[in-house]
Amino acid sequence: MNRRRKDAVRPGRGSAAWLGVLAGLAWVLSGHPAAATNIRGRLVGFEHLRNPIWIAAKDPDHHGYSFREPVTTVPAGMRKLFPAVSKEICIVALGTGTVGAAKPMSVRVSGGRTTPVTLVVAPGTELRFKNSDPFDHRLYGVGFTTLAPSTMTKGATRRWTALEAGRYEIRDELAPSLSMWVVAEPTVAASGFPSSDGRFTLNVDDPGQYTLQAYFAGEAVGKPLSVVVERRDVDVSGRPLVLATKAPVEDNNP
Amino acid sequence: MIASRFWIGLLGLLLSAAAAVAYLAVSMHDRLGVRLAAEGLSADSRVVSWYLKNSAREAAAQLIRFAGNDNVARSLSNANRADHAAEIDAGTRRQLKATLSKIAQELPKDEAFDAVFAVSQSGEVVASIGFDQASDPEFELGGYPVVADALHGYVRDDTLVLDRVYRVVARPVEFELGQLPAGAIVGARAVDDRFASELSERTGAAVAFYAGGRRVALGAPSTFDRSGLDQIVTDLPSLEKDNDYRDKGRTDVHPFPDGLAVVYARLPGEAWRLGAGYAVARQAPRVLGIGGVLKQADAKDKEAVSRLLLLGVALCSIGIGMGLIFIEYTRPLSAFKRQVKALSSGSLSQLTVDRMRGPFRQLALDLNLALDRVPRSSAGEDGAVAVGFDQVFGDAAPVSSPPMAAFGVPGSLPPGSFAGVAPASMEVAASRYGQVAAAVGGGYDFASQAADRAGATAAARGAIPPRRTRSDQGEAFPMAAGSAAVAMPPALPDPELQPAAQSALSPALHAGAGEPAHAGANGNGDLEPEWMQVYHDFVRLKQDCGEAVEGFTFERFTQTLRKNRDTLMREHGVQRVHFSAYVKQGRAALKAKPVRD
Repeated sequence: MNRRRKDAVRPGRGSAAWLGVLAGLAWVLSGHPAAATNIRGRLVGFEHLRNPIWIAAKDPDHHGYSFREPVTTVPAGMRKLFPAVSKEICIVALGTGTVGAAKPMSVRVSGGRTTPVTLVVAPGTELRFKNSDPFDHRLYGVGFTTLAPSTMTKGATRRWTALEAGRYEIRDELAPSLSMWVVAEPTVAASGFPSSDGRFTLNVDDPGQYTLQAYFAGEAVGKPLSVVVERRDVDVSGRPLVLATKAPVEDNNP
Repeated sequence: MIASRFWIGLLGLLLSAAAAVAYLAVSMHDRLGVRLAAEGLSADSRVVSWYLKNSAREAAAQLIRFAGNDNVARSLSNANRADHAAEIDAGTRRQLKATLSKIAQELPKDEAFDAVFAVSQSGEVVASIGFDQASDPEFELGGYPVVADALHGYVRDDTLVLDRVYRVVARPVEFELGQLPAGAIVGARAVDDRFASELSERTGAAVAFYAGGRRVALGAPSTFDRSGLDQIVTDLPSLEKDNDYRDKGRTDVHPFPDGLAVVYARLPGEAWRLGAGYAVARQAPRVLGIGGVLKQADAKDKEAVSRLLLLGVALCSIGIGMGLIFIEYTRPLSAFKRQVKALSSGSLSQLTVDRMRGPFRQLALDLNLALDRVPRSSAGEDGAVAVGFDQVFGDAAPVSSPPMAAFGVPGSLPPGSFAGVAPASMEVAASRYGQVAAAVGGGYDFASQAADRAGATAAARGAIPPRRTRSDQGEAFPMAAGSAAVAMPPALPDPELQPAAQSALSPALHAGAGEPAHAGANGNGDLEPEWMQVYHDFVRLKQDCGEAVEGFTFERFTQTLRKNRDTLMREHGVQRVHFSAYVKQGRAALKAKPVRD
């Protein structure tokens, strides 16, 4: 997540100083953000994560299918219900102090899930859900009342804001597989999503010390990684975020 | 008689028993029908479940055509290179869609999909056919477990409730062996009426699919009343309370009032959690009462009925009944008729009771008794005919018997009754002389009417005052005093007469004194000399029998004798009738005997 930088302007002497002041003022008034610093990194071990919705769906007791069989030409190691990291894992850079609400964020509702599935935002950040499916959805909050069930027709948008810090689960009455987690974290300085190979880039506005943390299914996963950001981009790919080191127990039951 | 009555009763009981058996049979049939329908429904529901599973497997096998196509795999592999769905090359999408269409056209029609989706590794729909409503380029399916499973190397089915209910199968598309699948191919069949009809045609079951509390598809054999399946929507809200439905996904039989029986089952897949499912129905065979048996019986049923047996039973029953009626009614009646005919023709003087049976025997006895009491024509040795007039005079009638009292003797009835009734009664008796009914029948009303006529006649003549009714009971009969025209013999009644009788007779006697003997009340002037003696004998006998004689006047007596004499003379062609008094069964009576000179 990008954050605006509010630099102070120091007055100078003479015309040069005035020019500098004017230039600086124009630059500030133009709304141009401060030069963000990128934090590049990499996730590993995400293949050991398991999508809880899919894991539940493969349970025969849930009657999710009448037959489910592996395709043996697909390697057994690939036949694991690891998540689509680009949609389901959220990487955040946590600062040392609380921050205000960020710009509204869009959440796409389609295909039996939301994109992103897990989102970490600062409290007060507005989320805009857009129904990209050609049929209705009825999102609702699990365990909280600020997001009551309401029908979203095709193309409709619905807004909701997590006002307080915490973990929020959002589901759909018309699509049981849809589960979204919103984590309202007061210290979140930036957030992003990895590519399918686990690489990610976070943009932080201010230099300082940050903690990189991955979230999956509404929970923090893996060990956090501390990063000190100065005026230059930081690449911590050499110290990847390890989300998991071994396969979960569910793999015993493919 | 008793046999025919018993037979009728037996037939009634048998009919009642037959109706009871028929009702029991109908009830048993309907109950058995419901049970068979329930058993059949359970089987139907499982057959439908197997069909859905088997058809899904067959559909998954058809997906191999798509998944094994190089163009499909290559296109998906290319699409995976894009970081976002919007960056997928349009040419790749077009090419993939064309490939999908081509393959779909090669599929057998009964195994074709309504929609096919080619999905990239990230879940985006790269190309699709048959689902044009998805216009958003970022439309994806990757969140559904069935697609996720396919993207991770599994083939499986699911039932999704999207804009409609879809039976979905998906399988992975491999581009390079040993690698993660390049994507997945997803085939969907809409659960609509066509799908349901096809299912019904192949399983023979009447099935309706429902989702969201409403019926979405229906398929049933042509012989099934499809409108009955509309009733399932009334059951849908309560299904979640059904433990079997909630836990096992299938209910017991739900009967409807019109004989429809339904079993509900959930659809596998996401639809399970959304309350979507299918209902299998059967119409329990019902005959709708005894009338329905005849209505619903077809030619084969009717052929199974032994008409010969039914005809035999009917003829046997009719024969027995007719035989009993013949034995107990027709034959005795014929015998009775023959005897009555013989009696009327004079060949018999009495009915032969020995030849009578049943009620006719008693009837003959009664008739004989009546004939005996009214000896209309009993021939003596000298050829004279004796005619009893005790009934005509009504001497034997007890006071308590109105019919007899109508012809009652003077002593047993009020004086007015005898005086007023007797002439009319004589007319009636004369007119019905030969009829048994006149001898033994006749009611008080009839007598009253006759008395009216008599009174009117007398009044018209001016000789007899209007008749007195029974309310005159206890009074002296005024006719006696007013019958001055009646010639009375000078002789006094028997000295043994009671004073009351004396007083009753005296006015009449005195009133008639000095009048010509033949100046009778009827103007005939034909009083027989012996009648006074008969009168005295009759009065004496009445007194001897303890009967009252008040108001019993000679004038009325002679009127009666005159009428009877004339009648007998006319009937028997005689010149003279001899009357005599006698005692019959303890009462005074008169007997008339036509005398043939």
